[in-house]
Amino acid sequence: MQVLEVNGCSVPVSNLEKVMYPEVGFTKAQVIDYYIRIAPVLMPHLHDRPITLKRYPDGVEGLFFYEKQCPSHRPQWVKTVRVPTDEKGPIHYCVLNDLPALLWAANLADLELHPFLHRAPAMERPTALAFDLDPGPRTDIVHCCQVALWIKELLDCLGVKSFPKTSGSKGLQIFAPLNTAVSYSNTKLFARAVAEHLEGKHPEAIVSRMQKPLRRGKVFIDWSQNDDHKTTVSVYSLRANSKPSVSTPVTWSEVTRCLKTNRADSLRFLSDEVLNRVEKQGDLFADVLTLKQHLPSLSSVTPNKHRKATSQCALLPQTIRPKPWVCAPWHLLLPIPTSFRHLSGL
Amino acid sequence: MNAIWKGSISFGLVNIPIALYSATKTEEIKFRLLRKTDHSPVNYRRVAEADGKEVPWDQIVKGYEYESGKFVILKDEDFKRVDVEATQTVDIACFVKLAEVNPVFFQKPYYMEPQKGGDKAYVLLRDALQASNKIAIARVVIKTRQHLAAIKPQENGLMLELMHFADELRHVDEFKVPTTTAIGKKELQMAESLIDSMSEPWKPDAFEDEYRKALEAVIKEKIEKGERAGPHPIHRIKPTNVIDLVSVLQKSLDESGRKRVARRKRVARSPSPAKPSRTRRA
Repeated sequence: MQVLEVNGCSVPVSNLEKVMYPEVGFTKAQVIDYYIRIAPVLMPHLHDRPITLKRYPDGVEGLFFYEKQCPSHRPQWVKTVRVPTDEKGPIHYCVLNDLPALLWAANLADLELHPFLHRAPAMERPTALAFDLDPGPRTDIVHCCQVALWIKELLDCLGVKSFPKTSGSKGLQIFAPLNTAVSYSNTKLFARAVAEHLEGKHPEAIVSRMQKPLRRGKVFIDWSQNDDHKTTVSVYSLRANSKPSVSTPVTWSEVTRCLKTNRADSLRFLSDEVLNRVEKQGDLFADVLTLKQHLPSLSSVTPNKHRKATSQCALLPQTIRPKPWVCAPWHLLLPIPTSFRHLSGL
Repeated sequence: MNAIWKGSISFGLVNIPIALYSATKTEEIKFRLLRKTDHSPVNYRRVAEADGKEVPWDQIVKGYEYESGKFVILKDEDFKRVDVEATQTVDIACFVKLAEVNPVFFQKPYYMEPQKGGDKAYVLLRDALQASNKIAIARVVIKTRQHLAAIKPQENGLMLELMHFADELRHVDEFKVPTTTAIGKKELQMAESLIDSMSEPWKPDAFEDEYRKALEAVIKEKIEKGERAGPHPIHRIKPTNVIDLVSVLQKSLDESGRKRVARRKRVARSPSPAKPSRTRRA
């Protein structure tokens, strides 16, 4: 067995030559190397968070499995946290608090890191509000950028700073740091209200319900991630796509530029590009760790019937309940051949 | 090419001996299933649910499950008892205009080839159908079921096209389709112009299975590249550079331990944002 000496711990490693991303020949050694190099900015985001392992023993083209229960064969220096569940008794989740633990997980082909939004032991207190923007069929990250900017505009107006990152896959995610006393039930209600409000304002572009058939041509704002049994892919985590892409923090001006130039690939970053960005820019998500913000009251997004809207944001209309399903005009759903363009003057 | 069925068309007092051949060829690419480790082909076996033992064909009978877990057994002679007369004939019931039959009824086309002594009657039926612009509606039993079928002239040949019985077709009412929606005149005009601008004579050759072509190209490329694989031994040779990889990673670890990652911040931390209204807490 081969061993890496990391901060006084011996981390066993195996099958380093195994190709995890066949399309580009990215091996397990390169996966571990990426996590070694990204660790200084990644570790603070994982600290004390229970994590679900998503393991790809045969690489990204093989079968994968989620592992909630931290494997019993773990070395003793991998910490766990006990989380009671309703059904089958407690789950002992892994907590990746130091470099040896992170590399141990990487060696288990845990390509993707999916931590919770809370830190142990405060299991009901998310440290951030999260919006997961998932582009439906016929939309891409450029559409997500538009929706992200609407969410930012609304949050800015409520005095809440937010930070965008790519999912590393197809979508975009927005984190609003809280780091104050709050509960999942409040963040979830708030996120849902924001999603439904924006859906009401832009029914042609946004859907707030999960049903797949509704998502065609629209961006799904997944507010349900704000939940004590849901995990969200970590910033700087690799993703199991054909190439080793990374969930990358970006700036709002990059989001705006992506929308203006309509270039989806401008927000796609592979592992080595992300290491270069971190070298130059540091951790664009550093504020998410420390910035203390209070969750605005729900009434700022959903005006109470019996009271005048108290929101300082004039952009909120009185009725914010979205219509159940507003159809786009049928001809927008058809592929428009170039020969049709001359008809637009009709 | 083998005939799938032999019999005769029964047309008034005339019998036309014919053989039936499939008119379509499916050009699907076939894959064999192999075991990943050594590429040995994988076979299916018919095994009994009761004890997992393989069952040879001569020990297999057909059962109809009339109630969950309860079967009634139907033997070959039982099937023969059903509609004996119809089994070897295509029984013409009537003639209708082709245009009267909705194309959704047509299911699968076959060519009919006249057998010994049938040429004259075959040509007679073909030419009469052509002259009258009609098709024959018939019943035919193939294997274990009766089909509705149409006899159509097709150039010099006669086709037998199996059809659906009316009760096999779902009705559009079973689906949620809008009856009326207010459509603007302009929208309709635009749609009609779009249809006009995309209208052209029907050229069936213009369409082909692009997926199959692309898949064939991939297969050809893999064969040419020498990625052909027969069964190969399970044990692969272990690479010799394993030790190197560990030392590369160890070096990477030592480097990143020494070097502090630049943490230049581009965005200065803004002062705590204005507190939102918190009427709910008041």
